[in-house]
Amino acid sequence: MLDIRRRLLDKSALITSFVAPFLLASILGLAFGNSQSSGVMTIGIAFSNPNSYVRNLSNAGLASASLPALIKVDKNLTVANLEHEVKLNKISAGVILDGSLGSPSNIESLVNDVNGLLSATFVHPNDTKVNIGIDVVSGSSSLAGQVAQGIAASILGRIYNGILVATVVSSNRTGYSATIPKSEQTKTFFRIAESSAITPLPFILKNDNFGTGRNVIGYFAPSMAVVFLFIGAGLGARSIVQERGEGTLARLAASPVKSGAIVFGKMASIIVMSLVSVFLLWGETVLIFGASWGDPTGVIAMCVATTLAMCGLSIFLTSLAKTEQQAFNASVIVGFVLALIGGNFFPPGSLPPFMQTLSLFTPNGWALVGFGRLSQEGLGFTGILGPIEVLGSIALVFVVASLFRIGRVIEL
Amino acid sequence: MTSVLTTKNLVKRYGDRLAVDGISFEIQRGECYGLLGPNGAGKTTTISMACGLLARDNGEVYINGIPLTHRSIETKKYIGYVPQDLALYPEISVSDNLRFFGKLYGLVGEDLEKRVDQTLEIVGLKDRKKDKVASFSGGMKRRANIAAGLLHKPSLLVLDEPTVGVDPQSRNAILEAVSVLGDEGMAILYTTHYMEEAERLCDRIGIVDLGKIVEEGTKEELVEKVGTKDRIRIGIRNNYELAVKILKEKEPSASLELGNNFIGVSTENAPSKLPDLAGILVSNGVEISSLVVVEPNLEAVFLKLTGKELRD
Repeated sequence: MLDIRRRLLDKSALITSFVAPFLLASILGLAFGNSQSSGVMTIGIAFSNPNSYVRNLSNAGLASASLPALIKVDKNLTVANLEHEVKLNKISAGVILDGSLGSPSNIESLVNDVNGLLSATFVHPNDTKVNIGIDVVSGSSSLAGQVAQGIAASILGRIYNGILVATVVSSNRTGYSATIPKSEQTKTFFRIAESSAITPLPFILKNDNFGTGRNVIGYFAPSMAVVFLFIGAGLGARSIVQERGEGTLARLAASPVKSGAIVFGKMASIIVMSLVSVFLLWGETVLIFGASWGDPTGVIAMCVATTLAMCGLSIFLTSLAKTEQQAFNASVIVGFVLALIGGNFFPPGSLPPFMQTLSLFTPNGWALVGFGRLSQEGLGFTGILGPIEVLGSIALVFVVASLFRIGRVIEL
Repeated sequence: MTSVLTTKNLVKRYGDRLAVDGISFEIQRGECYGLLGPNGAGKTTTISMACGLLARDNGEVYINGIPLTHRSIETKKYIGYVPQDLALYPEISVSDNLRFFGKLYGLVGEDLEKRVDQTLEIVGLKDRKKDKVASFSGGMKRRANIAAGLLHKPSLLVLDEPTVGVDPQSRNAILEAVSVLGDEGMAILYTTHYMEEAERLCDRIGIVDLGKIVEEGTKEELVEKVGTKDRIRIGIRNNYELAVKILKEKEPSASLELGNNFIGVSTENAPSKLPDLAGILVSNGVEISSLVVVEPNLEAVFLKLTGKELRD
């Protein structure tokens, strides 16, 4: 308590625990607040040659893509409208299908060209070749472009499936062996049909379900709070190194107080002030900007577990420093690296799969999983037991290690 | 009578380096004991062990007869420690600093407030009690630093080079305050490398060099031990060997210190003999570059004992 009071008196705690989180919440609120739909992505689909066969197949392709709720599809667009809307950012990306297919009977080639555009050539029963082109119109969001690409692939896969079924049925009924692909072609045909029909959408969209009607600040506020916790705790711990240099630690050690109590007091003041800052951030974003962090019990549990884990790690790293500058570098540089690896600076699910795996080697990565389950998936306390266990284990290891380290620092 | 502080055979090693090598001394109530030595002699390490801040490799420390370790709690209440660094929080007022440290010693409420005022009065900072330490001059910061060590009325006050980098006015105020505390019965352990401070303040002095107390006693005892003779320091430009021969012949009872381009002559009544000695040397062709008469003081004692001069 004495150390907290002292930090309040010298205003260092006011800045890190009250002013900074208030500013952070305000910035997040102004950036994302009250934007209930900003997490929803609209993909437009247009047909350059409207055709009921292709239209039906594309609908089936969309259905097979199992699009998450954040992706809305607008199918009532002309090609010109779609391109215009994408340009104005009203639509995130678009898929343009050339619907002049008619009744294709055989596949001749499938091209996924260097630009990622999909096209296919089919043989029409009258032996004319029909080219199907699926163009992806990307807007400013590369993520939306990826989604549109996935949708295009899924639609195309469905079309192949349709052709395959039509071909097989036709050959069985009529015995026209000429329409059945030759053996090599058949293998390719089946392979493409099978794989394309189940073309997955980008991994993260399926798994993180970002923006299912909840506002974006509900994700970014805890995400930024986690980074803030690490850096804030590191800077708090830097004061221990500073106190060692300035001699106040020696004076504390000379007083009739157990060194364990001094260490515990230092640690506790950093953790308590960090907890205050994260609760303040929560309160402000919820009360002023209408964010939803999810089930309050779960949020409190996640805040405590995350604070302990991030503070433990941060204080431990800082306590290894010999100088204030090293301590500053440890808290800021490591904080940013962890934030990058853990995915705090990115929209949920936008990391490639290997980075998503890598993020689970960081406490902030697990914190994001937990907070994401609360705010984006609407899960309650029982849904975050996994992240709580992991964060609790990290906290236990690093808090204990920090206690020993700081103890050594204080005992000269 | 039980000594306020007793140290016995203190030893501290840092790796292969022996920082403190068997230091022992005692301080009685109302006595000011000075540890005098150059930077790096082992003074701060010694007092760190004496205050229980640093685990020792060997030796014992007793405060008022009670054994002290670096994990002792109760015994530390008797010690007021004033480190060499400004060990205060600069961004809060001096009175808030004192309240913070006072609470660590169990002072609370009116008692704490009373002690804060009394202590600030002693160090002459009462009228600045609400000012941030950061706004103080160097001398005022030092006095505030001492106040934090005095707050709980310790029976032993340990001051580690409290006047380093302080202006003469503040230094005088600090020395005055310390002198008064000693008169009031507080035992004081004072480390310094300033001779005049040790001479002015300390009842007894331990001369520390290379981690050992090479000599100990009152100023008079130390001078006596080294010898009461004055010392003449004659700078020689040429005929060095001839000069040595002449001095040995003229002053057979004097002890000669042969330095690089100088000869030190320790003899009684040096000022009266100086003209004769200088005249004989010059008449024999010895060129003299300088002549200095050094009366016996701690500087001479220190030089004699350690072969070094004390510098800032």
